[in-house]
Amino acid sequence: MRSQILGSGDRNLKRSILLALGLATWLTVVVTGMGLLQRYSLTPGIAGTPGDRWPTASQISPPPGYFTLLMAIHPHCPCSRASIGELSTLMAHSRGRLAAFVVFVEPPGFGQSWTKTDLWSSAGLIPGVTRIIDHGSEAKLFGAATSGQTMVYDRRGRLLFNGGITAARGHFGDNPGVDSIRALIDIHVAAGLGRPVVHQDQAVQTAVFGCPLFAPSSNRKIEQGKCFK
Amino acid sequence: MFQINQEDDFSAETARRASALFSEMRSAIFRRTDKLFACLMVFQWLAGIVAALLISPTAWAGAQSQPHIHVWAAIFLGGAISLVPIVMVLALPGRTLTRHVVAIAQMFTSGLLIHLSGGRIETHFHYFGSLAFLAFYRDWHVLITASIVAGADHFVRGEYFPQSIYGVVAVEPWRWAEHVGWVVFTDFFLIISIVQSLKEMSGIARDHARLETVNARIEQEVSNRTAELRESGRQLIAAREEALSASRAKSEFLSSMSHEIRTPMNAILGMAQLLEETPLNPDQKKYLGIMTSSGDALLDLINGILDLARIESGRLSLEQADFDLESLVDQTVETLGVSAHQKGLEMLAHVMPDVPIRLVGDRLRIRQILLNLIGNAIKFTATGQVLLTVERDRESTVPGHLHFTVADTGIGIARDKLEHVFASFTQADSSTTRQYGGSGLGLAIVRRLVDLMGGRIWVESELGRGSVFHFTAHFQVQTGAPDERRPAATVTLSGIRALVIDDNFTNRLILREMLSRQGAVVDEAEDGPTALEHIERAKAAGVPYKLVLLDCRMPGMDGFQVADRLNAEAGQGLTVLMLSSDDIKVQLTRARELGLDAYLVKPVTRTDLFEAIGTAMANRANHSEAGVTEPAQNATVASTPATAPTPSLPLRILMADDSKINLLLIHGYLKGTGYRLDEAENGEIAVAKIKAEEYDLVLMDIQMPVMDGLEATRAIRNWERERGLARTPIVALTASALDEDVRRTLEAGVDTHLSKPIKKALLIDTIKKFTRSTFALTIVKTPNDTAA
Repeated sequence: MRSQILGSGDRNLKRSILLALGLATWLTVVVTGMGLLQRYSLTPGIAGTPGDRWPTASQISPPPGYFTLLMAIHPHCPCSRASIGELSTLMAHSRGRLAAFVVFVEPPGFGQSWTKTDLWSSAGLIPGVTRIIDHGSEAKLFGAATSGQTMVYDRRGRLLFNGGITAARGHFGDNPGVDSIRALIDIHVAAGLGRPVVHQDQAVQTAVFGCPLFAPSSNRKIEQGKCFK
Repeated sequence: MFQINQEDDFSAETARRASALFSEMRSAIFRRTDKLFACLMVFQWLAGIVAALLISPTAWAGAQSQPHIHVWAAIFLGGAISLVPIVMVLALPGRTLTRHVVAIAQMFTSGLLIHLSGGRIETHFHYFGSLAFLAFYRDWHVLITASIVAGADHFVRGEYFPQSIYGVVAVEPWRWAEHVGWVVFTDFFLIISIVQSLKEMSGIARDHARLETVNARIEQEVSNRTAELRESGRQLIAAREEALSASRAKSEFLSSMSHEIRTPMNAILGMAQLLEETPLNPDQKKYLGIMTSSGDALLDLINGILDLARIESGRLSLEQADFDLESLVDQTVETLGVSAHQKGLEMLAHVMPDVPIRLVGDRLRIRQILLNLIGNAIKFTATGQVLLTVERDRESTVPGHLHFTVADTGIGIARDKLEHVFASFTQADSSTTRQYGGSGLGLAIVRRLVDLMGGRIWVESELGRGSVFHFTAHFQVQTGAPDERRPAATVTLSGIRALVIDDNFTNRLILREMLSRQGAVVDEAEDGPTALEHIERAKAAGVPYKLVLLDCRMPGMDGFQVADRLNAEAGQGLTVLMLSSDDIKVQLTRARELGLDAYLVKPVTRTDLFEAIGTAMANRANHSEAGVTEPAQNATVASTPATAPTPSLPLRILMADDSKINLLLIHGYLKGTGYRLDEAENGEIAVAKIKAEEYDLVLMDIQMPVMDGLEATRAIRNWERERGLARTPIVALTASALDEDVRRTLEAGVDTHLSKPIKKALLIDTIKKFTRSTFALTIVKTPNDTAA
C-alpha cells in the first residue's frame, strides 16, 4: 500500500513536472513567436535615396506655394494601408498647407485594375491628395524604393523629409515620421512669417516600413518571408 | 474564499452540505466556462487566420508576391497560443491551472490579433472583452493573472519596442502603467461583480442545502409513514379476512338459525291455524289468538334480523324489474287498510299526477318500506288518518327520483328522540315497545333499504300531533311504455256534476282529483248540512248532481243520515256511493237498507272507485228505465272474508320431508281438500316414488337425510329429461329465508319456493297455481302475512 501511495505520488510529481515543462515550453514558444513577429514589424525596408531637390525630369509638377508631399506606394502592399491612414491624419493636420501626390507604382505588364486596389480608393478619399499611376520611372526619379516612402519638399522644391510615416510595419498610431513632417511644416511656415527658427541643413530621415516597390535584383538584398526590403 | 457559516438553525451537517454544494456549483461553472473558452480559442484562431488573409494575404516586391508572414503567424503562432489551453480544457477541465493558462492564452491572443490588425485601436478592446469573458469563471484570481500578462506585455514592449504599442521610439518610464491602470480599472468592477456573484451562489447553496435537509426529513417521514401504512394495510387485510370469515360464519349461523327456528315455528303456527278451525270455547280461542300473534311477532323479529344482517353484510342486492307504482300503492294500502279500519283510521293514498307510474326497481323492497312505515303509522295512531303521498323529488330533475311521505295523526315522537328512530333495536321510548310491541328493527331496515335505493329518509314529528316520515328513492322510468295510469274502468264522467262529502280535507282532495281527471265537475262539502244545501241549490238551478261520494263517519250528521235525507229528497237521478273505514258487517246492512248504490271500504283505489261508480251508475240507469226503485243489494264491497278452499279435482301430491311434524301439518292443511298426499322420508324415496307413480305436484323439503331436496330435485329433473316426460311441479319447502338458498333451490330445478312457516292459504294458492286447478276460492292476505 505504502509503495502504491509512493508510486502514485511519484506519478503525480512526474506529471506535474511534465506539465510545468510543457507550459514553460509553450510560454517560450509563444513569447518567442510574438517577439519575432514584433521584430519583423519593426524591421524597416530599404531606405531610398531621393535627391535634395524636386527632380526636374519629373512629370509631376508641385503646385506653387505649397509644401509638397510625395508618397510612393505598392498597390498591393498590406503594410502601406497604415501609411495611407497616417497620410490622412497628416493631411488633416496640415490645414491646406500641404499638397500630396501618391504615386502607385505599377510593374510593367500589369493593368490599372491591378493597381486600383483598396489603397487607391483610400488615397482618393483624402482631401488634397492626387493619385498617380506610375510605371516606375517617377518612383525611381524620386529615389523611392519601399512602399510608403514619403518625401516632403518645401515651397522651393527643397527636400525636407525622407522616410516612412508609420511606427512599424503596417502599424497605425503615433510615429516619428508624421511628427517630423508636422514639425517641419510648422517651422517653415513660421520662417515664412519671419519668426526666428532653426533650420536643418539635412533632410529628416526616418525608417520606412513597407514592401519593396521593385522586384529584387542583384544589387538588392531580399529577405524572404517578409515584405520585401 | 467564501465560507458557509454555521448559524443557529443551520446544522454542521447542513453547513458541510452547503459548502459541498457551493464547491460543486463553482466546479460546474469552471468546467462550463472552460468549454466556452475552448470554443472561443478555436474561433479566435480561425478568426485570426481569416483576418490575416483579408488584411495582409501576401507580401509583394514589385510584381512578385508570396504569402505574408502574418498569415503564417496567424496559423502557427495563433495555433500555438490556442492549442495548449484547448488541450488543458479537454484534459484537465475545471482545474485552477487550466483557467489560468486560458487567461494567459487569451491575453496573448489579444496581442496577436492587435498585431494582425495593424495595431488598430479598435482591436485593443479585445483585451477588455477578454477580461469580461474571463469574469465568467467567477474567480478573480484569473483576472489578476490576465492583467499581469497584459501589464508585462506593455512593460516589455514599452522597454524594448515602445513604437509598437505607443507609436513613439522613446516613452515615459511609466507609460505602461497608464495602460495597465485602465486594465485594473476594468478589473475592479469585474472583481466586485465576481464577489457579489459568489455571495449569491453561497446563499443559493445554503438554501439548497436547507431544502435538501428538509426534503430528506420529509422523505424519511414519508418513508416511515409509508412503512406504517403498509403495516396498517397488512393489519387491515388481516382484519378484513377475519371480518369476512366472521361474516361467513355469521351468515352460516343465520342460515342455520333461520332453519332451526322456522322449522318448529312452522309446526307451531301451522298447528295453531289447524286448531283454530276446530270447535273451541272463547277462552281457548283467546289463548290460541295470543299464541298465533306471538308466533307472528317472533317470525317478524326473525325476518327483521335476517334482513338487517343481509343488508349490513352487503348480501342484499336490489332487483331491477318493471313495476307499476300505482298498483303497488293500491295493493299496499289495501293490505294495511284492514288494520287501519279495525282501529277506525282513515287510510289514504295519493299519487301526484306528475309522478311516472311505470318504473324499474325493486318492487318488493319498496313495498316492504311502505308496509313498514304505514304499519308503524297505523300502530302509533289511535284516531285520525294515515296518508301516503307520492310525488316527484323536488330537489332532483330526474323523473324517476320520487319522494314518499307517510303522515299520521298519532302519538308523535319527541324532538330529542327523532335522530334515534332509525337506529337498530331503538324505539322513541322504551315504554313504546311495551305498549305497542315491535323490535325496533323495522325503521333501521327501512333506512338501509332507502340508502340502497339511492335516497334518504327523515322524519318530522311533534309529540301528540303525529309524525311525517319522508323518504326519497331513485328509480328508472320504463322506456318505451307509455306512462299512463291504469284505465279507470270504462267510466266516463265527462260533464257529470259530482259532490264529494267528507270532513277530511285530504280525502276530499284525492277524490276530487280522481273524479276531475275522468271529466267530472266536482264540488266539495265538508259536512252533511252543507252537502244538502249544495244538492238543493244545484237542483234548484237546474243542474243537479248525478254522483255523490259520501263519507260514512262525519261529525254531526253522519253519512247514513245524509244518505237518508238524500233518499227522501234527491230522487232517482242521484248515484250515491258511501266510503267507510268502519266495521263492514254493521254498516253494509244499513247501506243496503238505505239503498246506497255502492259501499266502498277505504282506502279506495282508483280502479275500485271507478268500477264501483260504473256499476252503480249502470244499475241506476237500468232501474230507472225499468221504473223500479230498490236498494242496491249487490253493492260493491271491496273486501270479502276468506272462505274454505274447495278443490275442483283430486290431485296426487307427493311430500318429501323427514319431519313427522311437518308431514302432519301439511296433512292437516290439505285435509278436506280431496287431495291425495303421499309421503317420502327423504329425497331418495321421493325420487323412487316419482319414478314409480305419477304425481301432479311435489312438495320437497330441502334439508333431509340420505338425499337432500336439491339432489332429489336434480335427479327427478334428469330422469324426466331422459324419459322426455313433462316437468312435475316441485315446490320447495325450506326453513331458510336467505336469498342464496332460494337461488340454489331454483337452480336445482324447483318451480317455486315457500319459506317456513308455511301458511295454509299460501300453500293452497301455490298448489292451485301450479296444477291449474280451479278453486272457488278467494285468498285475502292479512296484514300479518306481509308486514315486516
